[in-house]
Amino acid sequence: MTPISLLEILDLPMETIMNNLDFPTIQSLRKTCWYLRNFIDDKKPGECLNQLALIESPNKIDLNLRNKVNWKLYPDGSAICLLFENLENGGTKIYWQRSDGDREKIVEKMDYLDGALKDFEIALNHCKSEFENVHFSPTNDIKFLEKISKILEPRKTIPTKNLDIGIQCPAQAQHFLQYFDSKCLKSIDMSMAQNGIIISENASSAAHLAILSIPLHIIDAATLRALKKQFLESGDDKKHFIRHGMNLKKEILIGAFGPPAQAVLQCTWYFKAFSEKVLQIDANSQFFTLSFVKKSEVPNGFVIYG
Amino acid sequence: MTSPASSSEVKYLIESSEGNTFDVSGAALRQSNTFNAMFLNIGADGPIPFTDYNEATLKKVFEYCEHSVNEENYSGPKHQDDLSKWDLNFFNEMDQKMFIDVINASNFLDIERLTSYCCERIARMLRGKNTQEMIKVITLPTAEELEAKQKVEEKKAAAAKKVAEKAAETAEKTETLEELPVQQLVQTTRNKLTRKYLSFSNE
Repeated sequence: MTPISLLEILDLPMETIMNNLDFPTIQSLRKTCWYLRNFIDDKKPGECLNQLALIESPNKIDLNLRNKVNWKLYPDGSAICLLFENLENGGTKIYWQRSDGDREKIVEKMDYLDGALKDFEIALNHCKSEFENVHFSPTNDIKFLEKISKILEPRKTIPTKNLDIGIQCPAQAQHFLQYFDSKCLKSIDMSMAQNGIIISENASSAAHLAILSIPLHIIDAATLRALKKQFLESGDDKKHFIRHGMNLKKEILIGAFGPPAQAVLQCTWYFKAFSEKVLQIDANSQFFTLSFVKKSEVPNGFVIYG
Repeated sequence: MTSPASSSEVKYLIESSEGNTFDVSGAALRQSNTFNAMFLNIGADGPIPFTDYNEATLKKVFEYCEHSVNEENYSGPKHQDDLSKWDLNFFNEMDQKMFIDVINASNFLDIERLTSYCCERIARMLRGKNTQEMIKVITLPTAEELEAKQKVEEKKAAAAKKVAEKAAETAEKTETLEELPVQQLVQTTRNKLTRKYLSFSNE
């Protein structure tokens, strides 16, 4: 068949055509002319890749995009895995991990951060409704944070159900949290590369969460005490901390909180908090939780530490 | 014009943009959701005016409908490799211009099967290609063409708005559908179908 003029096709069938296309094809088509670019930006056709990960490592950025059900790499599936690597001459090497064999190309005079974040922006623009999962993992590179802020600041907050941030310092967590729509967030999962604890300073946006999960790779008695102190001083009785996959030694917990009020199947501690609230800390083989309860809910005979 | 009995022997007269008329069986015509929504129960006095499309295009579309009358109910798009020899011939013998006219007419008449196959056929031409490869299979519009299209679209949008407003006004005044002009009825129903489709797709 001779080349086809897409311009003559009406909007509705045009959208049907594009809904039959995968994400990379739509992005290639988008680059052919401004009419198609506007059409694609407006209609956001095709499947919605609503799981996004942006992982920075020194001189490299991974950008991964996929949908909830299809984990297979493109073209067998819809998962897009790109790696942008900084070249010494200022260019960027882009690797595209594919089911039919990896591809790579070098783009001269393009900063690797710019390249990755441009595609990140396209992914944000193409998402029809909300992201199921967004994962950020920055290094301490201030340039990356500045560039990502330039992209995120002019936008409305990103509607995301589950946010997963691997951070280097507490400020980074706050930096990312401000760009997410607190009404959509169902969970926030933060991990730190260094030993430390983050309780979201953005407590008002986290207060409604069913679970605020903050897994810590390394934890000791001092860290646990710091966590307890943050809760007691927060004045926010909705603050809730759960760590899954508990593997703390009982001795560390006792070292941090003293002898537990209850220690049969799980260890429980109570600490006097603000108003009529008591901070309850529970630990068993599965969970380690901190939450506030009313003083009247503490069982009779249990010690409430000052 | 025949009455709209449900028998497949019933023939309907279709009017094209040239003002020409030709017969289409009721069974073939009923594959058009647009027709079903407008005429199936109320009938039509005189030829049914599908005057946005020329005779050759409409004949081609209804040729497909006549052929697929006895096929089982449509259950979503088939892979192109699963198309019958007749289907492949049907698509292959069309030139580019006719093919696009058929897509647009099929979309207007809301013939799911044909629209879906046509769209999938184009999608297949594009799928997996990079921008450079794509430029070889699609004709890129010139700046003048784009400008002309934009103007046409603006005019169409304005006209559609007027028609919709007039139709809403008329619908309030008119108690029976028969009192509406056929072409306006076509447009109004089509607008409703389109709105319905769009509202689903936005959910």
